[in-house]
Amino acid sequence: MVKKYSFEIETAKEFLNSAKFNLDCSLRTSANRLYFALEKAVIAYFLFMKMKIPKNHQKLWEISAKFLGEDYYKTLRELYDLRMQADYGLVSIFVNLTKENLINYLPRVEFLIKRIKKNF
Amino acid sequence: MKYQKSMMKIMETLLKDREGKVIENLIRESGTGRNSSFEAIRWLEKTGFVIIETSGKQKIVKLNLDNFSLQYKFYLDSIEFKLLDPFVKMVLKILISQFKSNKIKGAVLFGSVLNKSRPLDLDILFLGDGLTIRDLDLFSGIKERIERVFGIILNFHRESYTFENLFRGIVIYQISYFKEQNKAQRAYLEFIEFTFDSIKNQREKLLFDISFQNAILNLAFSYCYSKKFEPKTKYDAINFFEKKFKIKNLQKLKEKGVEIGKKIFF
Repeated sequence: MVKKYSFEIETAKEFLNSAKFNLDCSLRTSANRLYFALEKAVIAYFLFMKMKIPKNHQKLWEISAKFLGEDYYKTLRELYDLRMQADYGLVSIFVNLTKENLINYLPRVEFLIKRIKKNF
Repeated sequence: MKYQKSMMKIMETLLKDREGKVIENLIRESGTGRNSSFEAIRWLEKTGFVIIETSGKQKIVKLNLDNFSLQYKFYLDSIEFKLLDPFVKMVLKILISQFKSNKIKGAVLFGSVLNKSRPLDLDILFLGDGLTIRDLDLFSGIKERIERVFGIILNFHRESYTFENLFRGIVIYQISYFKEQNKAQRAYLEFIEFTFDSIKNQREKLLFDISFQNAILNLAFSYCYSKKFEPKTKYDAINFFEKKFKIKNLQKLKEKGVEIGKKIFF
Protein backbone atom coordinates (compact mmCIF):
# COMPACT_ATOMS: atom_id res chain seq x y z
CA MET A 1 0.00 0.00 0.00
CA VAL A 2 1.30 3.44 -0.91
CA LYS A 3 2.10 5.43 2.20
CA LYS A 4 0.06 8.60 2.56
CA TYR A 5 3.10 10.85 2.67
CA SER A 6 4.46 9.24 -0.53
CA PHE A 7 1.17 9.96 -2.25
CA GLU A 8 1.29 13.59 -1.09
CA ILE A 9 4.87 14.11 -2.26
CA GLU A 10 4.09 12.53 -5.65
CA THR A 11 1.11 14.87 -5.93
CA ALA A 12 3.40 17.78 -5.06
CA LYS A 13 5.73 16.84 -7.93
CA GLU A 14 2.81 16.43 -10.29
CA PHE A 15 1.48 19.86 -9.33
CA LEU A 16 4.92 21.39 -9.80
CA ASN A 17 5.09 19.96 -13.33
CA SER A 18 1.60 21.21 -13.98
CA ALA A 19 2.67 24.70 -12.85
CA LYS A 20 5.57 24.58 -15.32
CA PHE A 21 3.49 23.33 -18.26
CA ASN A 22 0.77 25.90 -17.71
CA LEU A 23 3.09 28.89 -17.70
CA ASP A 24 2.47 29.56 -21.37
CA CYS A 25 -1.22 28.82 -21.55
CA SER A 26 -2.69 29.76 -18.15
CA LEU A 27 -0.92 31.85 -15.55
CA ARG A 28 -3.85 31.36 -13.19
CA THR A 29 -3.61 27.57 -13.31
CA SER A 30 0.15 27.80 -12.95
CA ALA A 31 -0.10 30.01 -9.82
CA ASN A 32 -2.74 27.77 -8.30
CA ARG A 33 -0.73 24.57 -8.88
CA LEU A 34 2.47 26.15 -7.63
CA TYR A 35 0.94 26.99 -4.25
CA PHE A 36 -0.57 23.54 -3.85
CA ALA A 37 2.67 21.86 -4.96
CA LEU A 38 4.48 23.31 -1.96
CA GLU A 39 1.53 22.85 0.38
CA LYS A 40 1.30 19.16 -0.56
CA ALA A 41 5.02 18.70 0.05
CA VAL A 42 4.73 20.32 3.47
CA ILE A 43 1.75 18.09 4.30
CA ALA A 44 3.79 15.05 3.17
CA TYR A 45 6.51 16.06 5.63
CA PHE A 46 4.12 16.35 8.56
CA LEU A 47 2.45 13.04 7.67
CA PHE A 48 5.88 11.45 7.59
CA MET A 49 6.60 12.94 11.01
CA LYS A 50 3.22 11.59 12.18
CA MET A 51 2.05 15.06 13.09
CA LYS A 52 -1.48 16.42 12.98
CA ILE A 53 -2.20 18.46 9.85
CA PRO A 54 -3.89 21.80 10.65
CA LYS A 55 -7.01 22.51 8.66
CA ASN A 56 -6.34 26.17 8.04
CA HIS A 57 -3.62 27.55 5.80
CA GLN A 58 -2.13 29.97 8.29
CA LYS A 59 -1.63 27.30 10.95
CA LEU A 60 0.01 25.03 8.38
CA TRP A 61 2.41 27.83 7.38
CA GLU A 62 3.14 28.50 11.04
CA ILE A 63 4.13 24.92 11.85
CA SER A 64 6.16 24.87 8.60
CA ALA A 65 8.15 27.82 9.92
CA LYS A 66 8.67 26.07 13.23
CA PHE A 67 9.75 22.67 11.92
CA LEU A 68 11.07 23.37 8.42
CA GLY A 69 12.27 26.97 8.57
CA GLU A 70 11.13 30.52 7.89
CA ASP A 71 11.72 30.18 4.13
CA TYR A 72 8.79 27.74 3.99
CA TYR A 73 6.47 30.23 5.69
CA LYS A 74 7.61 33.08 3.46
CA THR A 75 7.26 31.13 0.23
CA LEU A 76 3.89 29.62 1.12
CA ARG A 77 2.54 33.04 2.13
CA GLU A 78 3.70 34.68 -1.09
CA LEU A 79 2.42 31.82 -3.25
CA TYR A 80 -0.91 31.98 -1.44
CA ASP A 81 -1.12 35.61 -2.43
CA LEU A 82 -0.48 34.72 -6.07
CA ARG A 83 -3.07 31.96 -5.81
CA MET A 84 -5.66 34.40 -4.43
CA GLN A 85 -5.07 36.67 -7.40
CA ALA A 86 -5.30 33.71 -9.76
CA ASP A 87 -8.45 32.18 -8.28
CA TYR A 88 -10.37 35.21 -7.12
CA GLY A 89 -8.90 38.13 -9.05
CA LEU A 90 -7.88 39.89 -5.87
CA VAL A 91 -5.12 42.44 -5.78
CA SER A 92 -2.04 41.58 -3.80
CA ILE A 93 0.42 43.62 -1.87
CA PHE A 94 3.26 41.15 -2.11
CA VAL A 95 3.73 40.10 -5.69
CA ASN A 96 1.95 40.67 -8.93
CA LEU A 97 0.69 37.70 -10.85
CA THR A 98 3.03 37.80 -13.84
CA LYS A 99 4.81 35.13 -15.83
CA GLU A 100 8.15 36.56 -14.77
CA ASN A 101 7.28 36.28 -11.06
CA LEU A 102 6.02 32.73 -11.46
CA ILE A 103 9.21 31.76 -13.30
CA ASN A 104 11.22 33.12 -10.37
CA TYR A 105 9.25 31.03 -7.87
CA LEU A 106 9.57 27.73 -9.75
CA PRO A 107 13.19 26.88 -8.82
CA ARG A 108 12.58 27.99 -5.21
CA VAL A 109 9.57 25.70 -4.85
CA GLU A 110 11.44 22.87 -6.55
CA PHE A 111 14.31 23.32 -4.10
CA LEU A 112 12.02 23.39 -1.05
CA ILE A 113 10.20 20.24 -2.20
CA LYS A 114 13.51 18.46 -2.75
CA ARG A 115 14.66 19.46 0.72
CA ILE A 116 11.55 17.87 2.19
CA LYS A 117 12.01 14.74 0.10
CA LYS A 118 15.50 14.23 1.53
CA ASN A 119 13.88 13.42 4.89
CA PHE A 120 12.05 10.34 3.56
CA MET B 1 -38.09 64.65 15.50
CA LYS B 2 -41.37 62.79 14.94
CA TYR B 3 -41.31 59.26 13.45
CA GLN B 4 -37.57 59.08 14.07
CA LYS B 5 -37.57 55.32 14.69
CA SER B 6 -39.41 54.58 11.42
CA MET B 7 -37.22 57.04 9.54
CA MET B 8 -34.07 55.34 10.80
CA LYS B 9 -35.31 51.87 9.87
CA ILE B 10 -36.36 53.01 6.41
CA MET B 11 -32.98 54.63 5.78
CA GLU B 12 -31.27 51.43 6.95
CA THR B 13 -33.30 49.32 4.52
CA LEU B 14 -32.61 51.67 1.62
CA LEU B 15 -28.88 51.87 2.38
CA LYS B 16 -28.61 48.10 2.64
CA ASP B 17 -29.67 47.37 -0.94
CA ARG B 18 -29.38 50.82 -2.50
CA GLU B 19 -32.22 49.93 -4.84
CA GLY B 20 -35.43 51.81 -5.30
CA LYS B 21 -38.24 50.01 -3.49
CA VAL B 22 -41.98 49.99 -3.95
CA ILE B 23 -43.40 51.83 -0.94
CA GLU B 24 -45.34 48.79 0.36
CA ASN B 25 -42.28 46.54 0.16
CA LEU B 26 -40.09 49.13 1.81
CA ILE B 27 -42.45 49.37 4.78
CA ARG B 28 -42.69 45.58 5.05
CA GLU B 29 -38.91 45.09 4.86
CA SER B 30 -38.31 47.84 7.39
CA GLY B 31 -40.79 46.30 9.82
CA THR B 32 -42.24 49.69 10.64
CA GLY B 33 -45.82 50.73 11.31
CA ARG B 34 -47.84 51.78 8.28
CA ASN B 35 -48.95 55.24 9.35
CA SER B 36 -45.65 56.25 10.91
CA SER B 37 -43.80 54.94 7.81
CA PHE B 38 -45.80 57.09 5.43
CA GLU B 39 -45.13 60.11 7.59
CA ALA B 40 -41.44 59.24 7.84
CA ILE B 41 -41.12 58.73 4.06
CA ARG B 42 -42.84 62.06 3.45
CA TRP B 43 -40.38 63.72 5.84
CA LEU B 44 -37.40 61.99 4.18
CA GLU B 45 -38.59 63.21 0.78
CA LYS B 46 -39.15 66.76 2.01
CA THR B 47 -35.68 66.95 3.52
CA GLY B 48 -34.01 65.41 0.45
CA PHE B 49 -32.88 62.04 1.81
CA VAL B 50 -35.10 60.11 -0.63
CA ILE B 51 -36.69 60.64 -4.01
CA ILE B 52 -40.12 59.23 -4.83
CA GLU B 53 -40.78 58.22 -8.43
CA THR B 54 -44.01 56.98 -9.94
CA SER B 55 -43.97 53.84 -12.05
CA GLY B 56 -47.44 53.00 -13.32
CA LYS B 57 -49.62 52.76 -10.23
CA GLN B 58 -46.68 52.21 -7.91
CA LYS B 59 -44.56 54.66 -6.01
CA ILE B 60 -40.87 53.82 -5.85
CA VAL B 61 -38.74 55.20 -3.02
CA LYS B 62 -35.08 55.74 -3.88
CA LEU B 63 -32.19 56.92 -1.82
CA ASN B 64 -30.84 60.33 -2.77
CA LEU B 65 -27.23 59.25 -2.60
CA ASP B 66 -25.20 62.27 -1.56
CA ASN B 67 -22.63 63.08 1.11
CA PHE B 68 -25.33 63.55 3.72
CA SER B 69 -27.05 60.21 3.20
CA LEU B 70 -23.54 58.73 3.15
CA GLN B 71 -23.05 60.03 6.70
CA TYR B 72 -25.95 57.81 7.65
CA LYS B 73 -24.16 54.80 6.19
CA PHE B 74 -21.06 55.66 8.21
CA TYR B 75 -23.21 55.80 11.34
CA LEU B 76 -24.72 52.37 10.61
CA ASP B 77 -21.24 51.01 9.84
CA SER B 78 -19.92 52.20 13.17
CA ILE B 79 -22.64 50.14 14.85
CA GLU B 80 -21.81 47.13 12.63
CA PHE B 81 -18.17 47.54 13.55
CA LYS B 82 -18.92 47.58 17.25
CA LEU B 83 -21.00 44.42 16.84
CA LEU B 84 -18.13 42.46 15.27
CA ASP B 85 -16.53 39.57 17.14
CA PRO B 86 -14.11 41.06 19.75
CA PHE B 87 -11.16 39.24 18.18
CA VAL B 88 -11.91 40.67 14.72
CA LYS B 89 -12.44 44.11 16.24
CA MET B 90 -9.09 43.91 18.00
CA VAL B 91 -7.25 42.89 14.81
CA LEU B 92 -8.86 45.71 12.83
CA LYS B 93 -8.21 48.33 15.48
CA ILE B 94 -4.55 47.33 15.62
CA LEU B 95 -4.32 47.52 11.85
CA ILE B 96 -6.07 50.90 11.68
CA SER B 97 -3.76 52.27 14.38
CA GLN B 98 -0.90 51.83 11.92
CA PHE B 99 -2.48 53.75 9.03
CA LYS B 100 -0.09 56.59 8.27
CA SER B 101 -0.49 57.23 4.57
CA ASN B 102 -2.59 60.18 3.47
CA LYS B 103 -3.22 58.40 0.19
CA ILE B 104 -5.53 55.94 1.92
CA LYS B 105 -8.83 57.80 2.13
CA GLY B 106 -10.88 54.94 3.47
CA ALA B 107 -10.92 51.24 4.19
CA VAL B 108 -13.79 48.80 3.86
CA LEU B 109 -14.21 45.39 5.46
CA PHE B 110 -15.95 42.88 3.23
CA GLY B 111 -16.17 39.15 2.47
CA SER B 112 -16.83 36.16 4.70
CA VAL B 113 -16.31 38.10 7.95
CA LEU B 114 -19.69 39.74 7.47
CA ASN B 115 -21.38 36.33 7.70
CA LYS B 116 -19.09 34.48 10.10
CA SER B 117 -18.26 35.61 13.59
CA ARG B 118 -14.76 34.06 13.58
CA PRO B 119 -13.44 33.93 10.00
CA LEU B 120 -10.12 32.45 8.85
CA ASP B 121 -9.26 35.55 6.88
CA LEU B 122 -10.19 39.21 6.64
CA ASP B 123 -10.66 41.03 3.35
CA ILE B 124 -9.86 44.71 3.53
CA LEU B 125 -10.38 47.07 0.65
CA PHE B 126 -8.17 50.16 0.72
CA LEU B 127 -9.65 53.15 -1.05
CA GLY B 128 -7.71 56.01 -2.56
CA ASP B 129 -7.00 57.69 -5.83
CA GLY B 130 -4.37 55.91 -7.88
CA LEU B 131 -3.28 53.58 -5.08
CA THR B 132 -0.35 51.39 -6.03
CA ILE B 133 1.07 48.19 -4.57
CA ARG B 134 3.84 50.38 -3.14
CA ASP B 135 1.25 52.41 -1.17
CA LEU B 136 -0.13 49.24 0.42
CA ASP B 137 3.35 47.93 1.01
CA LEU B 138 3.56 50.43 3.92
CA PHE B 139 1.28 48.03 5.80
CA SER B 140 3.12 44.83 4.98
CA GLY B 141 4.99 44.98 8.30
CA ILE B 142 1.91 45.18 10.51
CA LYS B 143 0.09 42.73 8.24
CA GLU B 144 2.83 40.13 8.71
CA ARG B 145 2.88 40.69 12.47
CA ILE B 146 -0.88 40.33 12.81
CA GLU B 147 -0.90 37.17 10.71
CA ARG B 148 1.89 35.52 12.67
CA VAL B 149 0.86 36.58 16.15
CA PHE B 150 -2.91 36.15 15.81
CA GLY B 151 -3.06 33.43 13.16
CA ILE B 152 -5.47 35.18 10.83
CA ILE B 153 -4.85 35.90 7.16
CA LEU B 154 -5.28 39.48 5.97
CA ASN B 155 -6.11 39.95 2.30
CA PHE B 156 -5.52 43.50 1.13
CA HIS B 157 -7.15 44.95 -1.96
CA ARG B 158 -7.16 48.40 -3.49
CA GLU B 159 -9.73 50.44 -5.39
CA SER B 160 -10.62 54.04 -6.12
CA TYR B 161 -12.34 56.19 -3.53
CA THR B 162 -15.87 56.18 -4.93
CA PHE B 163 -19.40 56.01 -3.52
CA GLU B 164 -19.77 52.60 -5.10
CA ASN B 165 -16.70 51.15 -3.37
CA LEU B 166 -17.68 52.57 0.02
CA PHE B 167 -20.80 50.43 -0.20
CA ARG B 168 -18.93 47.17 -0.72
CA GLY B 169 -18.89 46.45 3.02
CA ILE B 170 -18.43 48.10 6.39
CA VAL B 171 -16.37 51.29 6.33
CA ILE B 172 -13.78 50.71 9.06
CA TYR B 173 -11.54 53.70 8.41
CA GLN B 174 -11.79 57.21 7.02
CA ILE B 175 -8.97 59.68 6.55
CA SER B 176 -10.70 62.05 8.98
CA TYR B 177 -10.32 59.57 11.87
CA PHE B 178 -8.39 60.81 14.88
CA LYS B 179 -5.38 58.85 16.00
CA GLU B 180 -6.17 57.30 19.34
CA GLN B 181 -3.75 55.25 21.34
CA ASN B 182 -3.52 54.89 25.11
CA LYS B 183 -0.63 53.57 27.22
CA ALA B 184 -2.05 50.05 27.36
CA GLN B 185 -2.40 49.96 23.58
CA ARG B 186 1.13 51.28 23.03
CA ALA B 187 2.59 48.61 25.31
CA TYR B 188 0.44 46.03 23.52
CA LEU B 189 1.97 47.01 20.17
CA GLU B 190 5.40 46.37 21.72
CA PHE B 191 4.13 42.98 22.86
CA ILE B 192 3.17 42.21 19.24
CA GLU B 193 6.62 43.22 18.04
CA PHE B 194 8.44 40.96 20.52
CA THR B 195 6.04 38.06 20.02
CA PHE B 196 6.67 38.34 16.30
CA ASP B 197 10.42 38.20 16.97
CA SER B 198 9.93 35.13 19.17
CA ILE B 199 7.97 33.39 16.40
CA LYS B 200 10.64 34.19 13.84
CA ASN B 201 13.43 32.99 16.13
CA GLN B 202 11.95 29.73 17.34
CA ARG B 203 14.96 27.86 16.04
CA GLU B 204 17.50 30.23 17.67
CA LYS B 205 17.27 29.62 21.44
CA LEU B 206 19.10 32.72 22.68
CA LEU B 207 17.24 35.15 20.43
CA PHE B 208 13.99 33.40 21.16
CA ASP B 209 14.45 33.65 24.94
CA ILE B 210 15.22 37.38 24.79
CA SER B 211 12.20 38.22 22.64
CA PHE B 212 9.92 35.88 24.58
CA GLN B 213 10.76 37.53 27.92
CA ASN B 214 10.32 41.00 26.40
CA ALA B 215 6.96 39.98 24.96
CA ILE B 216 5.76 38.84 28.39
CA LEU B 217 7.05 42.05 30.00
CA ASN B 218 5.24 44.28 27.50
CA LEU B 219 2.07 42.25 27.82
CA ALA B 220 2.36 42.63 31.59
CA PHE B 221 2.70 46.44 31.29
CA SER B 222 -0.22 46.56 28.91
CA TYR B 223 -2.34 44.50 31.29
CA CYS B 224 -1.35 46.68 34.29
CA TYR B 225 -2.31 49.89 32.43
CA SER B 226 -5.61 48.38 31.32
CA LYS B 227 -6.36 47.64 34.99
CA LYS B 228 -5.41 51.21 35.98
CA PHE B 229 -2.36 49.97 37.85
CA GLU B 230 0.80 52.02 37.30
CA PRO B 231 3.86 49.81 37.88
CA LYS B 232 6.99 51.63 39.04
CA THR B 233 9.35 48.90 37.88
CA LYS B 234 9.21 45.95 35.54
CA TYR B 235 9.09 43.67 38.58
CA ASP B 236 5.93 45.42 39.74
CA ALA B 237 4.41 44.82 36.32
CA ILE B 238 5.41 41.15 36.20
CA ASN B 239 4.22 40.48 39.77
CA PHE B 240 0.84 42.06 39.08
CA PHE B 241 0.52 40.15 35.81
CA GLU B 242 1.55 36.80 37.26
CA LYS B 243 -1.17 36.94 39.86
CA LYS B 244 -3.51 36.12 37.02
CA PHE B 245 -1.41 34.66 34.18
CA LYS B 246 1.30 32.03 34.02
CA ILE B 247 2.96 31.88 30.61
CA LYS B 248 5.29 29.01 29.87
CA ASN B 249 5.35 28.81 26.09
CA LEU B 250 4.67 30.67 22.87
CA GLN B 251 1.23 29.16 22.40
CA LYS B 252 0.11 30.35 25.84
CA LEU B 253 1.66 33.76 25.17
CA LYS B 254 -0.43 34.12 22.02
CA GLU B 255 -3.61 32.91 23.73
CA LYS B 256 -3.28 35.22 26.71
CA GLY B 257 -2.23 38.01 24.37
CA VAL B 258 -5.52 37.66 22.51
CA GLU B 259 -7.47 37.49 25.78
CA ILE B 260 -5.92 40.75 27.00
CA GLY B 261 -5.92 42.42 23.58
CA LYS B 262 -9.65 41.90 23.11
CA LYS B 263 -10.24 44.00 26.22
CA ILE B 264 -7.69 46.67 25.36
CA PHE B 265 -8.93 47.19 21.80
CA PHE B 266 -12.63 46.96 22.62
